[in-house]
Amino acid sequence: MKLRYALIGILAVTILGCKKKNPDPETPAPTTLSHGLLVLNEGLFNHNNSSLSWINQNDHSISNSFFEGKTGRGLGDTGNDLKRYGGKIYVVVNVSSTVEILDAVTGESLQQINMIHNGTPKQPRSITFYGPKAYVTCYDGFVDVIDTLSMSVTQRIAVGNNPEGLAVSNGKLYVANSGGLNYPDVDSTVSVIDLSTNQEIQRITVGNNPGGVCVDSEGDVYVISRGNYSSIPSRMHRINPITDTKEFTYSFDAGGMTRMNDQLLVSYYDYSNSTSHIGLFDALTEQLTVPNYISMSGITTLYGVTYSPVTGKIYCTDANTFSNTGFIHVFSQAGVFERTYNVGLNPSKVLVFD
Amino acid sequence: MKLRLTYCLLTILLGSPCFGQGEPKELDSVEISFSQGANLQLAQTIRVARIQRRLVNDVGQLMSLFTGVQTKSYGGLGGMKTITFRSLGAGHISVVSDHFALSQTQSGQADLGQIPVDFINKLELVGYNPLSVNYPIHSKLAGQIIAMETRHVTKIDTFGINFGTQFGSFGQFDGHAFVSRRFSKLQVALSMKGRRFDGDYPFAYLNGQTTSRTTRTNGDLTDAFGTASVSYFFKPMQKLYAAYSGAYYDKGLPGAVVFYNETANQRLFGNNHLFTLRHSGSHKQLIYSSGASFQQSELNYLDSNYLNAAGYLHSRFISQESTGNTQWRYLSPNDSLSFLLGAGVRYEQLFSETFDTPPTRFSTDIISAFEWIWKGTFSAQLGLQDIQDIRPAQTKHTTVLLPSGEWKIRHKNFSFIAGYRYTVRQPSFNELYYNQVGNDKLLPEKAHLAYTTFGYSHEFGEWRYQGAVQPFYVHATDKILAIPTKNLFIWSIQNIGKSDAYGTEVRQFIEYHKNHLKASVRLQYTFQYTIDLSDPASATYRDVLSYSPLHAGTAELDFEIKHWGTSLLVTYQGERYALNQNIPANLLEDFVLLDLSFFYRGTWREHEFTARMAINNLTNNYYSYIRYFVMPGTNVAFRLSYNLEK
Repeated sequence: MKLRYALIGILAVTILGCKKKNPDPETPAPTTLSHGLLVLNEGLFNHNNSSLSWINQNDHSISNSFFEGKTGRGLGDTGNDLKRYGGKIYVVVNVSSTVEILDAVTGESLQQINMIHNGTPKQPRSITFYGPKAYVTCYDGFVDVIDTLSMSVTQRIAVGNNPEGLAVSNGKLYVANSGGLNYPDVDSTVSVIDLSTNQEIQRITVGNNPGGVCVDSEGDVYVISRGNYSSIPSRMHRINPITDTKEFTYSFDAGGMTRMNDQLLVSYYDYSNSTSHIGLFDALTEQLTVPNYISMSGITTLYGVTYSPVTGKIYCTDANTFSNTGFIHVFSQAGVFERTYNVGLNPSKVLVFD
Repeated sequence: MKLRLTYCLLTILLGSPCFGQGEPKELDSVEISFSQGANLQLAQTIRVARIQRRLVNDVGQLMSLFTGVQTKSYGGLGGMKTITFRSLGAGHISVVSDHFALSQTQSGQADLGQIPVDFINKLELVGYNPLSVNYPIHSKLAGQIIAMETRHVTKIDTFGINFGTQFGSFGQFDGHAFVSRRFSKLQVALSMKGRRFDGDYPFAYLNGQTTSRTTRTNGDLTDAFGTASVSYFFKPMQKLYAAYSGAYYDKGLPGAVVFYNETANQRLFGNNHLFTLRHSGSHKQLIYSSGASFQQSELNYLDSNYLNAAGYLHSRFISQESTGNTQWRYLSPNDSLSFLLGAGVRYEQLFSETFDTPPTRFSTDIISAFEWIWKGTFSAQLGLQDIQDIRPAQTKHTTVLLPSGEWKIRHKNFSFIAGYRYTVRQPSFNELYYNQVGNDKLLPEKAHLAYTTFGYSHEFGEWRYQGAVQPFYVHATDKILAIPTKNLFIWSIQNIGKSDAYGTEVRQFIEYHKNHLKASVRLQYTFQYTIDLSDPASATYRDVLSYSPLHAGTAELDFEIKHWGTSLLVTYQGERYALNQNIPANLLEDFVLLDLSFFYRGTWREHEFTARMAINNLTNNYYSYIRYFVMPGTNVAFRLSYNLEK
C-alpha cells in the first residue's frame, strides 16, 4: 500500500511540476507618451506577434502589449519600421502589409492604411518624411507617398526591385533597391527621386543588395550594401547629394548606420560567428575613428542601434537569437553601459519621448 | 554510380532463389509478436474496420489514434500533415507502404495528408521489429515506422471489387474503386481514387481582444491516385509482387493566417511515380524477402504574388530514389532461436534549377539481428549505415552503427517489455543544400530511446480488456533546427539542438460482444515532457519544446447492433508553446474535438454495402495544431461503398 501511495505521489509531483507558471502581470500602457521609450518588436514571420513595448523611464516598468492595449488588436506580422513625424507615430508592418498611424501624444490609433495593390500585398518596409508627405518603400518596386493629413496613399513612384531603406537630402529622396527577392541576382542601385516632381531621376550603382540609407550632418548620403552574406562583404558607401555619384566605398564591415550628431555609429553583426561590433565613424573627417566604440559583452544578437539627441543615449536592440524575447541595452553617449530592458520578440527600432 | 547501383539491385534480386519445393509456412504468421497467443495487442495497429469508422480523408488524420504521436496539421482538408513521435521529428519516421518505404528524399519527411486510406487494410506504428522481413532495412533502422498494408498485398480466392464515394462539406467529393482478380497462381489488382475539395471554410481567430471571423480561401485540392499490381504465387509460400503507383496533385496553400493580409496565392502541384518489385517467401527454416524500387517525385511550388522581377516564383524539384533490399531469417527447428541478416542500398538524387550539381546520396544498410526465446524473449539488432553524400567539391562519407535490444516476458495475462534503441537520421537534401537555408556541414541527428511496457489482458465472458502502460525516455543530440541566422527572413539549418523527453503512454481497451451487439471503448493517452537542453545560457534552457503538449489523447466509443453502428471520437490536445521560449505570449490553448459518425451496413444482391455519415468537430470548435494554421469548424461527410467478393 505504501508503495502505491509513493507511486501516486511521484506521478502527481511529476504532473504538477510540469504545470505552466502563471504569467507575470502586464504593466498597463500609459495614457500619455512621455519620458519613455517606444520599442518596435518585429516578432517572427507568420506568427502575428509584432508588438510595441513601452518602457517607462521613471520607474523602468515595461508594457510589452502597448499597441494591443491601445487598440484592442494585434499589430500584425513583422513590423519593420517605426518613426515619429509631427504629432503622429508611423509603424510599417511588412508581412501584414499595413502602415499603422498613432497619435504621438496618446498612442491611440488614428488610421490603419492597408497596403494591398490589385490583390497583391505591397509589403512596406521603411518610411521617411519630407514636408507634408511620408514616403514608404514597398517591396513591389514602388515608393508610396502618404499624405500625412489625410493619412492615405496619394501616389506611387516606381523605383528598383525590392526597395529597402530611404532618406532625404538636398530635396531628393535616396532609395536603396535591394532586389533581395531575386537572389542570387540581387540589385545594386540607389534610386534618386526628385521630391519636387516625385519622379525617379537617376539610379546610382553602389554594391550588391543595398539596404540601409542614412544622411550625415552635412547632407552626405551613406548606403549599406549587404553583399551576399558570404563571399561579397557588407560595405558602406558615400554618395554626393549634389552630383548624385558614389564617391567612396569604405573597406570596413558595416551592416547598419545611425547618426549621432556629426558622427555615425556603424554596426555590424557577423552571421558566420555570431559576433558583432559598433564603431564610431567621424562623418566630417570620413574616418572610422573608434572601431569598437561599445562593448558587446552581454549582447547576444545585435539587431539595431538608435541614438537619441534628446537623452544623449545610445540604445542597442538585442534579438537574442531571434526566437526569444529580446533586450534594449542602454549606453551613454560615451559608450558606457547603463542598463538593460527585457522587451518583445526581435526588437529593432526605438523611439524616445521626452 | 548508376552502373554500381544497377549491379547491386540485380545481385539482390537474383540472389533470392525460387525454391522448387519447400515446407509452406505463411510469412506473416511466423512474425513473433505479442499479438499471438495471449490476445494482447502491444503493437499499435488500426485495422480496416476502425479506419473506415473514422471517415477520414488521409492517413495523417488517423495518426492521433496512436499514443506517443503528435500530429502537426497545417490546416485545411488537404493540408500538409506530419508527425513527431516521442519528440523525434518526422525525419526519424519512415513511412512504409506494402513493404516499400515512400521517398522522403527532398524534405526528409512524408506528407501524410497526401496518403489516402481507402485501400488500407492495416495501419501500424512499428518501433522495433528486428526479425521481420516485411520492412525495408533502412526503415527498420529509423526511429519509427508507419507501416501500411493495402488490399493489393492481400491474397484473395477469386475476385474482389469495391467501389464507393465520399462527399461532404467545403465542396469535398471523391470516388474510389478497387478491383482484384485471381487467375490460378496469378493475382492482379487495380485501385483508383480521385479527390476534389473546394476547401473554402469559415473560421475564427483571436486578434488581440477581438475575435475575427472570415473564410479560408486558397485551400482547394484536386488529386488522383492509382495502383496496379501483379502477384504471382510460385508456391503457397512464395510470391513475386510487382506494382506501379502513380499520383497527381494540385492544391492551394492557404498558409498561416496573417493579420490584415488575406492574399495567400501559393500553390503546390506535382506527381509521384513508384515502381516496386518484391520476391518473398519461406523455405524450411528460412524466411526471406528481396525487393527493388524506383520512385520519382516532381514537386512544383508557385507563388503568383512573389515580388521579384519576374512577378512570380516557380520552383520545381524532381527527386529520384532507387532502392534494393534483401533480408534472410533463419528460425531454429524448435522456434527458440532466430537470426536475420540483410543488406540494402539506396541511391537518391534531387534535380532543380536551384542546384548546379544535383545533390546525390548513396547509402548502404546492413542489418543483423537475433531473437532467443528463453526466460522470455530477448532480441537484439545491429545496423550499419554507410552514407556517401556526393557533393560538387567532395564526397562526404558517414558510417554509423545502430544497436538496439529488447527483452520481453509474458506471465499469464501480464506482459513486460524493456528496450533500448539508438537511431540516427541523416539531414535531408533541403537541409543540406536548399538555397541560402541549407548547411552542407550538418551532422546526422542522433537519439537514444529507452522504454518499458507493462501490459495486461483479460477475457471474462462477453467482456475483453487490454491495457498497456509505456514509460519512455528519449535523449536527442545534434538536433537539426532551422534558425534565423542572417535576418528574420534568411534562416539556416544548424546542429544545435539537444533535448530530453520523458513520458508515459497509456492505452486501455474494453469491449463487450454478445450476439449482434458490440460495444467498445478505447482510450489513448500520452504524457510527454520534452525539454530543451541545447544551451545552458539560453533563455529556453529546460523549457518545454515548441509543439510538445504535456498531455494529449483520444477516446473512441463504438457501438454496433445488427446493421447499425455509431462512433464517437474525442480528441484532446493539451496546451503547448508555439516557440521554445515558455512565455504566455507563445502559449497555445488546448482543445477538445468531438467527431460523431453513424453507419448502416446491409446487403444488396448478396453483397455488402455500407452507408456512413460523420459530423466532425461537433461543437464547431475553432482550433489549430500549428499557430494560425486554422482548422475547419463543424463539417459533415457521407460515404457509400459497395463490396463484391468471392
